[in-house]
This record gives sequence, C-alpha cells and structure tokens, in this order.
Amino acid sequence: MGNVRRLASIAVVGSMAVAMLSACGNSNDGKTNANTPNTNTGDTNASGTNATGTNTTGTNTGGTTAETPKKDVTLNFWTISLSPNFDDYVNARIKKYQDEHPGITVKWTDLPYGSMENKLLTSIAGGNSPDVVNLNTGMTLTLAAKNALVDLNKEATEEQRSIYFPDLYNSTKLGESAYAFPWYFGLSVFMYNKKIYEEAGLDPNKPPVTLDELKQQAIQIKAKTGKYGFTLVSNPPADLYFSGVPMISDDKKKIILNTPEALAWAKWNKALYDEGVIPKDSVGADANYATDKYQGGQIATLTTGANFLNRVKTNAKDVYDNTLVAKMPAKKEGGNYQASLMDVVVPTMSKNHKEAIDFANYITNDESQLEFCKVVNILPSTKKAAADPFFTQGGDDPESKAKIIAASMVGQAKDFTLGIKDESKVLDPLWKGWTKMMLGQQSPEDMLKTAEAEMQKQLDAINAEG
Amino acid sequence: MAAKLSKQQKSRAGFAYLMIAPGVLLLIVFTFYPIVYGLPLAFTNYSALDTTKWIGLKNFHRAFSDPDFYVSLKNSLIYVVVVPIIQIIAILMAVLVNTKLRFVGFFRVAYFIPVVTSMVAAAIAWKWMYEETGILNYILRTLGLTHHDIAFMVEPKYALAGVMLVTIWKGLGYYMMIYLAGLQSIPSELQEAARIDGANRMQVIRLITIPLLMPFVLLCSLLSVMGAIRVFDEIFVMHGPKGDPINSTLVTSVYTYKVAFQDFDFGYAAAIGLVVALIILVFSLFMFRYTRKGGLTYYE
Repeated sequence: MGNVRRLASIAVVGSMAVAMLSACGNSNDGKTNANTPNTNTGDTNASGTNATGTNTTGTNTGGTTAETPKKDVTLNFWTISLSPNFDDYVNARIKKYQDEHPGITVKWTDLPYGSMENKLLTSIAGGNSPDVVNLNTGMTLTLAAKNALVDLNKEATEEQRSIYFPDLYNSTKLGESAYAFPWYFGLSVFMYNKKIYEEAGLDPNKPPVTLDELKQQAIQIKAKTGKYGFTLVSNPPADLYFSGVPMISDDKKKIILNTPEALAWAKWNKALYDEGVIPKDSVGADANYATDKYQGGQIATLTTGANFLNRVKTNAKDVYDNTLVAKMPAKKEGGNYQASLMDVVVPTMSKNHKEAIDFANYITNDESQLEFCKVVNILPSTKKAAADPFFTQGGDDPESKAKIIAASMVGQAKDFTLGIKDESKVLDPLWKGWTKMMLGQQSPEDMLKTAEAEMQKQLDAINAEG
Repeated sequence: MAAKLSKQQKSRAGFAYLMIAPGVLLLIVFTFYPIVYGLPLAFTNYSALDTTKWIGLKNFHRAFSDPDFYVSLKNSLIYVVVVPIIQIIAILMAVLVNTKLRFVGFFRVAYFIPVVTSMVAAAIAWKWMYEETGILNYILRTLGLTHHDIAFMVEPKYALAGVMLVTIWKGLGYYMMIYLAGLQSIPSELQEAARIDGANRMQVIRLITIPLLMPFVLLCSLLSVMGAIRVFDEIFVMHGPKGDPINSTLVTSVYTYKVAFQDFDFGYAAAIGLVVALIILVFSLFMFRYTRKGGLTYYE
C-alpha cells in the first residue's frame, strides 16, 4: 500500500513538473512574440524573390494586425517521396532558410506518396498539424474543400503570389480562393527506342508529329517487330479537356462533355484498343506501367515526364542509350499540355501561418526551384526560373534534350482541374464510363451521354449543398 | 461450490494472468476500443475536419441506396466461394501429407511457403503472371487453349476470379497445417478398428476422419469466411483502391477504405463496417448452428 502511495505521489509531482515546464515554454514564446521582432527582413536572396519579402510582411506590412513575428518557431515541413534521393538538396535549402531566418527551425519529414493524405488528415484530426505540406493538386483540392487549408489569396502577399505562372497558381482555385503555391511539375515528352524504330523500318529521325502519325507508326511497329508501338497513360478527363472539350461551364453549373470533339477523341482511343494497337493491360494504367514496359524493351515509345528517363537510365542502360527524344505529338494545335503539378500548402491548423507561408513561398521560389531542376529533370512553376538559360542549354544526351523540349512547352502547361468541390465525385462517372467503353461494354456515344448526365447529377448535388 | 485454490495454484494462476495480460491489453487497445468507438461513429457525419453531428440512421439509409456499396457487398459475398474450395483442398492436402510418404517433410514445407510469403510480394508476382505478356497467357497459348492473349487484370469477368485464385493459393498451406494438427490428434485406434471391421480407405475418411475433424472444419471455415468477407490486401495491391476494372473487384473492405481515407467520410465508413460486421456475425452463427457436432468430445 505504501508503495502505491509513493508511486502516486511521484506521478502527481511528475505531472506537475511537466505542466510547469510546458507553461514555461509557452511563456517564453509569448515573450518572444512581444519583444523580439525578426530583424532579418533586409536579406535579399540571389534571385531577388520574396522569401524575405514575406518576412517584411510579417514585420512591416502586416500592419493590419500589428503582429510581431515570433521567435523560436518550429515549422514542420512534410514532403512526398523526396527522401533519400534529394536529401542533400532539401537539407541545404532548409539550412539556408534557417540561416537567413534566425529563430525559425524547419523540421523536415518525408512520406511515401500513398500515405501522405491519410497521415496529414489524421494529424490534423489529432490537432497536431504540420505547417507546410507538399501535396498534388487533387489532394490539395480535396482538403481545401474541407476548409483544411489556408486561402493564399487572403493570407499571402501579392508579391508572394505573383512569381508563379498564373495557370499553375490557379490550379487550386475554388471560387475566389487559391490554396497552394505551385511547386515543380513534369511535362510529357515523346521518348522512343531508336533500335525498335529501325527494326520496324521506320526512320528514327522522323518521330510522329500528330497522334495519327503515332498510330500509323505503332501499327507498323507491331506488324514488323511484334512489339507495341505505344501505350496509353490514360487520364480521360484531362485528355478530353486538352483535346478541346470544355468539361464545365464558366459559372460551374453545367457539365459540357457530350461534344463532337469528345466523341472524336473517344472513338480514336477505342479504335486503338479494338485494333490491338495498344496493349489491353494499358487501359487504366499509370506512368509506372508504361515506364516498366518501355525499359523492358517491350514497347517502342514512352510518353511521360522527362524525369522518368532517369529511371530508365538506372534500370536499363541499353534502352536508355537507344532513346531519342522529341516533342509530344499534340492533341490540339496550340493547345495546353497537362502538367502533373506538385503544390505546397499551409494547413489552417498550423499555428504559424505567416512563417509557414513564408517558408512555403521560399521553398517554391525562383532560386529554390531552379536549383531543384538542376538536380532532377523537372520544371519550375515560377516565371523567372523557367526563363533561366539552364533550360535552353544542354548536351546531346536524352535527359538534356528532354529537359530542353519540356521547357519549351512550359508556357502551355496547365494542371487540369474543374475548380469545384468534390471534383473526384463529379469525374468518377467519366472514369468508369471510359473504362467500360474501352472494354466494349458501352459505345462512345452512350458513354458520353451517360457520363455527362451522371456528372451533371453529381454537380447539381454539390452546388445544392453550397 | 468451487474448491478453494491452494497457495501454489493461486500463484500459478497469477503467473498465467500475468502472461496473458500483454495480449489482452493489446486486444483492448487495438480491437475492442476501436469497435466500441466505431459504433457511435456510424451514426454521425464524422469526417475528422468538420464539426461532428449526430445524424441518426442517415448513413445506413445511404448505404442501402448506394450502388457502389451494393456492388461491393455482392463481390464480397461472391468471394465467400473461396471458402469451400480452400477447405476441401486443404483437407485433401492434409490427408496427403499425413501419410508416411517419402519426402513428406519437404511437401509440408513447400505447401506452407505461400503462407509465409508477404501478401504484397505475392500479389505483385501474380499480377505479373496475369499480364498479357505474362506466363499464364504463355502457358495457355502453348497448350493451345487460347489463340489470343487474355487481359486477366483488365477484363471484368476474370478480374475477381484472378484475385480469388491468389487468396486460395495463399491460404491453402495455413489451413492444411491446422487440419494436419487435427488429423494427428485423432487416435489411430479408431481408424484401425474401422479397418478391422472392413471399412475401406474412403469409408474411414468419410465416417471416422471427417466427423472427428469437424471442430477443425468449423474453426477453419469461420476464419476463412471472415477472411473472405474482409479481403483487402490482394485486391488493393492488384487493383488499387477503386477495385478496378469498373468496380469488378470492389469489395466491402476496399470500399470502406475508399470512403474513409479517400473521401474522408468516416461516419459513413463506420456504418458500412458495422453492416459488414453484422453479416459476418450472421454467417458465423449459421456455421455454429450447422457444424457444431463432431470431434472426439461429441462421441464420448
């Protein structure tokens, strides 16, 4: 009994001590807030961007709230699948930021792609939100619709927002709000195996310029080599949109899917499957499927982000050495290309909005992005970084060529989005209908008609909810 | 009146409780607590981000008017077909490896290998085998059974059956080992006596072995039914969270995952989970009712 009492006393004293220590920590924060303005606002980084500009907002122009920047702030920064390959780059950027912003510590956590959304959600639900998070546009819009992200149109400065390509910045726009700073992205380029082209009796110096040419070449490749000419990396909504189908009216109230352009595109795709031009397994396949088949020498061409070339180089050097690169055969003359964009967001539950926005802007600014692009074959979302000579210079290797070709398309890059809440629910009938059509369970005409009606029903329900 | 325990017995009992305590604690934290927590959740709109409201039976009404839930339920019930297949083959395998064959040890190990293989690795390997350019199409073509490649992973009529085959392949060894233990617990005198009385091999199996094996059949069938209705890993790895193609591999657990962790609709996911739990309960009661007889105790 005596032991129990002793243990209970220790527990009580222990918890009081912990409580007092935490209280000390809080009061310390409070003092910092009151007395120590961040004096680092004068720093200007090499690219003249606004990492420091944001701090200026915190200290000077934040006059509306008269808030003083906090000291000893720890920002939890979460990224998707960047470690261990890019540890050096990320750690160096963080170190530089910390050096320029005394009192701010950035704690970096990298998570696998598949677990980011769940982990973030559970952290937010548990009241332990990170401050700066890397998400893709889909995840960003899902969380934005649930009011989990800071509206950057309200809380970031014009200076911070203005550095990005407007089309990319607006990818995460819902109504008048925008929820992310765009980060890096990939644009598909056309990569093809010179050896297979020669075996098929095709001139490797004449890659296809149009999709019909691509199809004709694929038919010849199949006939002569038994290998497939290409495989679809299908994203029906984005593909339709970039082939000239409006998808949604400007007032976001009407689905516009059943159009002659949509029918032509659907029929073109269906014919590929029916005529055995593409592998059946490719229906619904992602970029990994295409890359695996290409590096295995089973498919003559690869149409995906230039960054995938690095994987081919590592896994199949002989295929890489035979790889030539060209611009993507266009879906529509002068049209946009789908940018698979990565974003950086600030959750509303972050306790340090200003500092978090500042860091989010810093990690996506011209200097940071340009440096990142030099490490891996991706493209920057900021106008100044994209204009750097780095993107027009390079060697004769496939990676350099891919970089130059992709960079030449940056101005036409856009991340497809309907710009509505619960977008995935609205698009679901199209995804399902498209697969049904490809597998012959529905005609292209019926698919478009049914998908349009079902999507409209979903959209009406969402608009009714408000 | 219960007899009083001696000091030594009390000490032994205390030690036994101490030994099972960690397991019980883990069960409470990771099994019972989530179950209890999930019950009220099914009656709310809990999404982890918005304000949680009590919405009564709305989630259940929604479930029974949700076409995707119906499809997932139908696929889960179809999946139960694997249960008799697994049990029958596992019993036959157990009978086989219970004989005094040469290399029987090797066969026992060989049949058990799939059990200890990671489901993710196994599912990926099977996915490769099912591809158009995979070994399965090669074998079928070589044997002259088909003339064109079959897209097992993409065509809805093959997709679910393809995953069921993986579950069967993976589960056989596990149940075989349980049946083997059951067979070895049957006193050999009973079988010998039957043979002396003139029973042939099949009669011994049908009239002695199978009835005495019934408690094991009940256990394995229960585990297998629960496993089949809750199947997740192989479908998730082979067909993703949507149960593609066109919902053909969408089962309740995958749908629950999608609703909870992709749509963040935890209240609705809890309601679906509750409905599935009730279905499993009905299955279990049904099986207890019809397979409770058997085993040595029953004949004593």
